[in-house]
Amino acid sequence: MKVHEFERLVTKLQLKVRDSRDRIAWFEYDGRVITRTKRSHGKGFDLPAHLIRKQLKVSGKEMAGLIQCSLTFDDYVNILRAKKLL
Amino acid sequence: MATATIPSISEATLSPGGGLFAPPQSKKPVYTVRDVSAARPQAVRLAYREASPAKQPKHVLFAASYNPRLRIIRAIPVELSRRQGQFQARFKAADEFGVGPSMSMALEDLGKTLADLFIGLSEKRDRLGHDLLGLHARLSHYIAFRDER
Repeated sequence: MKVHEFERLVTKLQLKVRDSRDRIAWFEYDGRVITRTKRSHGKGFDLPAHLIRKQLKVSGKEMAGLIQCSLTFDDYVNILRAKKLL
Repeated sequence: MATATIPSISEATLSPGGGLFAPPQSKKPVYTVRDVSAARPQAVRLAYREASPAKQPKHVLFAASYNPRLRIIRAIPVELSRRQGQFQARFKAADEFGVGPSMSMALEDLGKTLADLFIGLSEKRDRLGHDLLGLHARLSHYIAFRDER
């Protein structure tokens, strides 16, 4: 996963971010913190997509959908709801 | 202090009466000649091989603390792997990972991430969803605040 793809997730899922040593992103819904992920600030290498998607609780297909715009914020909420995380 | 010198079998000689007596001590050096022409040692060729690289471990127990507020109360089981030239250190139970160009840097990244995560979860504890509450509980098996003794 490239940095700009991670940033697309941040925007689409309205993740709250905090830049410290890493860029830490939290997904909040109804005032509760549901999932979290992070990416390092280092450049020149791909981010571990399979580990990021596990943190965001989505499958590989769903992750691809979130990056490629076929899945929306509401779809993500429904995915989490189906997994009883909300 | 006088010390008795016990002759070795090769030095000792039998006296006419049959008893052993030591040859008189001489300060002259004793040379022995050995015929080595018959048994010429075979030439030995030494071949040096490059040492095979040490195998990268797949699992390690990790207990380094990167935040002075925290202490590690139990070693953390970490899976190590390498993808696309990057080392990845993963704490599977917490779905947390560290990456770096070397194994030690990946472990350091993981250690710092776990410290940040534990502090972040502790601060947001009253607002966490049940999955992250579970994660905080799992992390608490391994990490604790120093003032929580």
